[in-house]
Amino acid sequence: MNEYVELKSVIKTIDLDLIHDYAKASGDYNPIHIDKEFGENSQFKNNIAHGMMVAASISEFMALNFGLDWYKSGTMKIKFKEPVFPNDTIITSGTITKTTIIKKQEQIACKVTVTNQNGVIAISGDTSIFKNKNESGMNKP
Amino acid sequence: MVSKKSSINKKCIDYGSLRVGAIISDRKHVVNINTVKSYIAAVKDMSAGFFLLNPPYCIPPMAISALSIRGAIHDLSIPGGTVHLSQEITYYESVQVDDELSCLAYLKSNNVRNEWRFLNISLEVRKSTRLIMTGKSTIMLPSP
Repeated sequence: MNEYVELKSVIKTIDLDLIHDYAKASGDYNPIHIDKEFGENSQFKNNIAHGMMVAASISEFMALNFGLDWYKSGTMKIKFKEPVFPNDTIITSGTITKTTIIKKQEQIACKVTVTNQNGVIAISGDTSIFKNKNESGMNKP
Repeated sequence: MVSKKSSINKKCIDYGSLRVGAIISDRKHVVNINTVKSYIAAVKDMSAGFFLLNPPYCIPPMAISALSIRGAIHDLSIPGGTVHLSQEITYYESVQVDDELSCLAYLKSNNVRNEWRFLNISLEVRKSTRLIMTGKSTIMLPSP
């Protein structure tokens, strides 16, 4: 694959119902996510989406662009820079930055960001996959 | 989801006493189809359904990450207001519905800056003896 290629983006709106659904699915009931009063008294002045809920859009983005290779060999290194609030629309996008051959397999590295509707970066980071990876554990330590 | 073997589950934890290398969570899970469907619906993952319903019937990898972090969150009894700062994840194999997974979390570092405690937690997920995922979470807790 060519470097500096813009990949297909993922766009979605995160509302309070989804945040509650994620709390239930993940078992993370931190009141900063689901308790209105707690959120309003926090440093964010509102409830915020779970970081891993927002990061799931990066996983979806990588699966959309690289399929099962993401499931079998994906790596992700991300920073949560700004919170995502209820009713924010997030856009997950990224670019291929480097392709490398390691032990005869092609590794594709990407820069990814999740931004909100105002262009504020909520998450930034790096991801990678091995193309056509078998189950032998190419990147196992 | 069926969970077996809980580890530390103290109601009131002295976070300052947690030493680097301490195992903070060691749990076994069998991830069933309903749990995965709830997860996919909550994150509105439009691609995950295809991989779940077609061979080789894989679970979205971030569902595995969420599961491994869940153990750490519960067994650390983290206080309200804790903030997730950064996350590193590496996947080594895909996971299928009803696979039994062992999720281990241990402390990598424990520091206080200003009013906050920063915990760095290492995560490992195995299927039988095979490594499925490793990760590193950095969280920031209101420090007493």
